[in-house]
Amino acid sequence: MASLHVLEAGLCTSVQDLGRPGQAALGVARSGAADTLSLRLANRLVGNEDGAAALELTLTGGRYRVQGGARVALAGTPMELRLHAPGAAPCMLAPFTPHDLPEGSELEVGPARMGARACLALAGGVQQDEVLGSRSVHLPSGLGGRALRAGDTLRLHSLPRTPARAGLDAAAQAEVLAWLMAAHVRATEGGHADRFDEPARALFWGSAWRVGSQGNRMGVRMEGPAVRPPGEGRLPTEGMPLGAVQVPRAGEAIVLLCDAPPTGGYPVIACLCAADLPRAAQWRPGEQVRMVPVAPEEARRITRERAARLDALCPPVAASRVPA
Amino acid sequence: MPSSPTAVPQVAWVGGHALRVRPAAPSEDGRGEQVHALCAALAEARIEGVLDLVPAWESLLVVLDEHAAGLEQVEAEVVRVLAGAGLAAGKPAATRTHVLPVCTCAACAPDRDEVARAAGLDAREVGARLLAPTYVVQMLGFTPGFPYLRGLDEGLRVPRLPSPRREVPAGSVAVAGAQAGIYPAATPGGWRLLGRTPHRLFDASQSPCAALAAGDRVRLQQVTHEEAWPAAAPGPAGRR
Repeated sequence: MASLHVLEAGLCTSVQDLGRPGQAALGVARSGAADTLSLRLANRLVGNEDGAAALELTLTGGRYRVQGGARVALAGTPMELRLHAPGAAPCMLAPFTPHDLPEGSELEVGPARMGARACLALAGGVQQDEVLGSRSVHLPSGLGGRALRAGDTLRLHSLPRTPARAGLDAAAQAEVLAWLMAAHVRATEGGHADRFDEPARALFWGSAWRVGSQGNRMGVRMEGPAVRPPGEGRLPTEGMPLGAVQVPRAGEAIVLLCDAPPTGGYPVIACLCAADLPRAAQWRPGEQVRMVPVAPEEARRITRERAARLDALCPPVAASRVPA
Repeated sequence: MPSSPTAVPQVAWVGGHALRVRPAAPSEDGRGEQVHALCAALAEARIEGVLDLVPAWESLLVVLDEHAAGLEQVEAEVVRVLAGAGLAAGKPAATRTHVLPVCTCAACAPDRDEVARAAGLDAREVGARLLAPTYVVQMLGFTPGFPYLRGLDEGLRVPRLPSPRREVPAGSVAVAGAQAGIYPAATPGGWRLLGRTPHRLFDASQSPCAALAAGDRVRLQQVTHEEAWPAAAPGPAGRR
């Protein structure tokens, strides 16, 4: 059995898969990769099913030593990958491309120059016990584990004997990066939109919002115009979909991401289109964000088309092909 | 009390991939009760494309799978099941009642005196009123296994703290507005702390992992600090 040894963890590096849907009624967050599109893509590139457990890296990457060899691919923000293989000069590895790393090599992952998150997939997926049906780490509660630290070791499958897939070509990489770094996101009206008055709604949709510095996997806090919430910012506690845009007080909005509790009590003015949640996971502090209104059926169409386009660029791996 | 079964719940999209169901009962308690009946009907129907059912204080969120085909048909099926469930509401549902030991000493109830002042009660009366009701678990939320309890004494309805505590001890029984709740784990929190239970409310290695479920009943039983955390036993007694 191969393994990955953490020499330096990045700012917030954790094991994530597609999370634990189906547990929300227990107060358990979805978790999973914040940018599921990059998780799926990275997994496909190394021959995994979409939901295999991978590393999610945040703003900085870290340093890792490979024991027994590993096939890896990075998708998301193109952090620099530098390979230090024994007896060879260091070399740069392309993102969106599978690479076979020899025994004893060191992978150095540089900081994100745009965007915020990347997924590093490992052929066969990170091997650890599932908690409530998922290997994802819910950082606020510690469900499934914690963020990685120097000294941690992750178990991996052995290097696959099958040849690696081709990486994404330049045009496909550019297309994916255009999705992940887009200047705006699409959103529908939120569940409480009718409780905001018309000037508040016009102000919300018509203004640029600035991504605050306090963002994490639970949500991104945004600063903007004085959109006044109804009910003095509190409503009876309700179920909250991912991507809900809450307005707790004038001048502030919070976009809920994957680690957010499944319920909340702030008024929801908008809800991000599912296809654009990966974009929100890439927001950097200080960025200006605009939201473009779409109808719910439009949000579903965009999401279907995005999934189909990803399949065309990099087809999913057939289920239950466990690497030897 | 069973609520009026006739009115049809309102269903609306929240974003492209979730439906919010609002029961039509006239009273808040009635809507809360209908949330459980509608949630049970949808759970039983096992509609393909539904990922999560999230019962809340007076509404239900139905989360759909963005990768499922034909979500408009899923919506139609949800509406059909809800319409059928409306007819059966009022049928008494089987409920479980849990009795949880709770200590209301000054150390376990750091907000007791301030709540007493705000409510015009003495400190002992605050404890007595907290322990008197049979609560309904309206929902779990906020953090894994955190129960939102309906049935809080009118006299104990005080606003949450102006700024949340950095860490609320695990097991704290707390109130905010009309809601009572119990913190399953040490987390930040803004509710007023009026007691503490040694009972474990969430354990991911157990099945079910949450001790309580929406629709359950809860009674709080007074115990002393020593009964709750026997000195010999290891546990959270020493910590805060």
